[in-house]
Amino acid sequence: MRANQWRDRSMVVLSTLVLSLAVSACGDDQDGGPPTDSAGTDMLDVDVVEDTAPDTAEPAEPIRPAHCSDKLSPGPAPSRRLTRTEYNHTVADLLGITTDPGNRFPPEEETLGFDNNASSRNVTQIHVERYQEAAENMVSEMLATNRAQVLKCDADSVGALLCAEWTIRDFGKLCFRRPLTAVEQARYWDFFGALYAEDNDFDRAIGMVLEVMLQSPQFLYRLEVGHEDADGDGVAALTSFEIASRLSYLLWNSMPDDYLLAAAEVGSLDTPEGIAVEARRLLENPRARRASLHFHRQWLQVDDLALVHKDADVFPEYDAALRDRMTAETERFVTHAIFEGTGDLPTLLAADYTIADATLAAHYGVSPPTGELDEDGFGRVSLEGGQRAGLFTHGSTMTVQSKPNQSSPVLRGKWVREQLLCDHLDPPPADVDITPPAVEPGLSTRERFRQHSDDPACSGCHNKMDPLGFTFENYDALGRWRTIDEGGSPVDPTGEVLFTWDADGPVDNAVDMAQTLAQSEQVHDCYIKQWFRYTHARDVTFADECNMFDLRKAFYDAELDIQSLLVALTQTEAFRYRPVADPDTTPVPEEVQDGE
Amino acid sequence: MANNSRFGRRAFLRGAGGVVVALPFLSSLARPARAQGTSVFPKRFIVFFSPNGTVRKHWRPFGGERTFQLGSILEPLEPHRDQLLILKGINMTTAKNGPGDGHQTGMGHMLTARELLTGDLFEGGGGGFVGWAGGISADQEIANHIGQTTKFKSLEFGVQVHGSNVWSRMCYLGANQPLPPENDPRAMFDRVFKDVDADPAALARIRTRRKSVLDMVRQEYKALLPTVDRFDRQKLDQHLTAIREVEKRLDIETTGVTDYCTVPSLPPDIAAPEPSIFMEPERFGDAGRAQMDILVSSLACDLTRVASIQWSQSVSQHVFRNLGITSGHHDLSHEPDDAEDAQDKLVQINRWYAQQFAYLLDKLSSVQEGDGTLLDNTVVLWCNELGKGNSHTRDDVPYVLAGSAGGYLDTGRFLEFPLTNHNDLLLTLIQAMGVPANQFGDPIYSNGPLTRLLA
Repeated sequence: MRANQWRDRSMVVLSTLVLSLAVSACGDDQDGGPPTDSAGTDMLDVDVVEDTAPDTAEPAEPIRPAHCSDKLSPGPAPSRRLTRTEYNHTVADLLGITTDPGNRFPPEEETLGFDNNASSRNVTQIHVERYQEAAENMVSEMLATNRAQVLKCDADSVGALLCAEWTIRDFGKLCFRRPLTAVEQARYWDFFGALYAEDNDFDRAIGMVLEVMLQSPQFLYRLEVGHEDADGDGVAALTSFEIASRLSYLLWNSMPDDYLLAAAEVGSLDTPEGIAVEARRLLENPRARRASLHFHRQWLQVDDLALVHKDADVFPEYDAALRDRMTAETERFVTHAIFEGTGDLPTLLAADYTIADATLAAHYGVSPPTGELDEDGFGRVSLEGGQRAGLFTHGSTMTVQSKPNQSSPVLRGKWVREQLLCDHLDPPPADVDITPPAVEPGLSTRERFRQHSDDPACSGCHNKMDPLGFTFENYDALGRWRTIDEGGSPVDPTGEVLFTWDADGPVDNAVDMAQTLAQSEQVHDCYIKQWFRYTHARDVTFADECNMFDLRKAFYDAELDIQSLLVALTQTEAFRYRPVADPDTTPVPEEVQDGE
Repeated sequence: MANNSRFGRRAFLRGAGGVVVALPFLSSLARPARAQGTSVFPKRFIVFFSPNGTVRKHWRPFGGERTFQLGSILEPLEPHRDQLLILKGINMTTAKNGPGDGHQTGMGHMLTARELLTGDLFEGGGGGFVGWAGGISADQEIANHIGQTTKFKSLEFGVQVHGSNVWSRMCYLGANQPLPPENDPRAMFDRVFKDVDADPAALARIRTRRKSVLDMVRQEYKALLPTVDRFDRQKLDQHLTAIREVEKRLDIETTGVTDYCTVPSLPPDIAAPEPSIFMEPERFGDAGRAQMDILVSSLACDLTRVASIQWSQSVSQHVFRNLGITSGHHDLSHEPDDAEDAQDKLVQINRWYAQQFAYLLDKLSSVQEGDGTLLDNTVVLWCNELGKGNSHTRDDVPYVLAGSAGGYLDTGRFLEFPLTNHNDLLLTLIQAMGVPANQFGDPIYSNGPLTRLLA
């Protein structure tokens, strides 16, 4: 079984990692032998593993590297500021405000394909102004129209001070996603008391407390401290409330609900099993679908569709309605494949169906949806004719990965190479004319791009893209099926998968390639890696070797079931632990106003 | 512009759902003479960016230093020729170094004149990844000095800027700290003018409240800093610094409407919250002009002295359907020099940007300041991340300056420079604003100010 070969692969990868560490250690060691000797020996071991690994029915059970048990290795755990999406969902759940106030914040800096990378994001004056504005608007709206959402008491009947105390305690717990400390409660209560003493205006005073909370780092950021590091290994288990937030933001893009906070309170999240139970519960909630889409839209670059322009002379039928249909198809298909269908990655990648409406089906030239249709007329469309497969041939993807007036084997190949195989490609050298060759009657796409394979200056990189991209030639720049290309030549959709761990070889067309890559360990590994980046708001590091091993094992044990992968993401050391902060205790510069 | 009625603005505020305080305007006092130097009017600095290089043959003026004739691209600037400095031959030499592809280095070096960081944030050229810019941008360097007494240290206007990455940011507070532009004219209007002419008593109440709330918030950030590691500290410290900036400016009084300072009225549909159309490609010019109206008023009202307006971003694919063009700008910019049809379109596009630049200069000239105009006390830098698009060269970048910075620059000239680094152009402008500096950006490439520009 192909799915078991990852074990050999991971052995090679792990051995190489260990090897590189060994080499550098040797280099530092004056008394050690020449690094090359040591390296050569290790290399031999790796080769032996590979050569003796049976590729028949009974492969060796993968062995978790021994050093994984020596020490917990969670990798970095940077604090994270809520993204606009997370903010919008959070205030909807916290306050019932569904106007998406976060949309007025500056957009997230995008890194490695996702909107939440902790390293690239920054705060400027305009962020602070907008947080302030949002807090003021939301609080005044709450106090005017929906007091019961934030105030569980009536100041007139229980008294202003008591009602304030309860509000600080109860709303504060939801806002900060954990109980307030005694110090925090006292501080807010003092703040309230001083304001209230000025004019006996309860709403003004409690409103200001709420505004502070909604601009607090405890609300805007997910700050984690962890339990005390009792054994002094520099790694701390996250508190159960910290785990609750990790769960809800990963699986819902929002704050924990009452059940999750209660689970944290009673200690249900102190064990991996307890975390898994809650993860599965969260996955059953519809919020999990929007969170999954938030990941997949970014990974697949479908969001870019809104900005894609087509040459109106060549594609007069391209309009917003078509774009919306294509987006809807991808979203509905992803949700169906993961939550309603078989749930496995190969199906997501290469399914013989999609979810479309009659108009889009006609655009593709396939039969309209059959069976039950949703309110927008979308339903299951069979792709059994062999012209299309899974995400690979969606109109959204084909349209984004095209030029305004023609298909683009380069963009399409690059998309496969970078998004699905997690390979990094350098951009073309600075002073090269990268205009796609003009469409010429009588010249096939393949012939027009011949320079890429003939010229050694181009072929190094383009052999990683073009032979993948040519397989998509059956789809025009709007994703429609065709057998004649722009230049009037018959489409030749054959291609070749090259430079992969395990999927190299000729392919007949895009469907054949999709089916091949759907079974590729490199693609499976890449999918895990993309989820890991998104889950932890950072790239995979060397410290994540054991985390990645555990995820691979769980994903293959679950036969590539995506929901199982999401649960597995909550089970790793990276998810449950963090490095103990090494505080930078340089004094904070004083400013005059601090003395006020 | 001076004729915009109060009624129009009030109507706008109502339409936009802003807070309407139906109380008298502040009395129209004369502008306080805060500025240093000979003029009582402060100096201002504006950056105007358009992307993807130019067509040199049609950008370049003909003729002599003062007798030049504008080419097809810059022809719309003819009414302002006496206020121009057209500079040929200035190279972004630093942008040949360090990580990043052509557009990335062009954009990130354009105002910082130093190498990008070797971060792992974005895919870049040269075999790896690239980070944000490696230092402060010239506009922010200037703002740090001349922007301390105004309501806003600087204002960053965007016109349909897409993306949030090293290709789409030009202003930096410092290394690794990009400053995002605001694309929404309505949001910008609210931000800039919401306090101008507000009822003083109501304003005082709001300020007291904000001060009190922000003070609490600031203390929370401050208390966290010594407890977190270096990475988190850097991020939280940025947040704390931004809070301090906002807090510091709460006290700054705005002058209110005066002879000089009027509040612009925006086209109602651009200003309408729903549907928001300022990002629709067809409204590119309208959104930009609304932004420029706000920009000029913010300077005239002395709410800020430093501003930038960024049209789209490097690698812009804007489609100029209004010019009968159906291909994306970036795709066109890659066409070879002998592709006449594409070059004609690029000339049209760059000429269109010149028309927008002329609009900005018109507006600045329409504000009287003493015997001169707002433009006289300003210098506008029109810059581009590339020399030309098809080669991605960062040599001979098309720079145009407008305004003399209060007589500091000798305008009305076309100047050619041999082997001159853009560090020194930026340095000259920094000095023109009265900011003490001997070099800017990477010191290796900073040789001193371009004295030929000076009056």
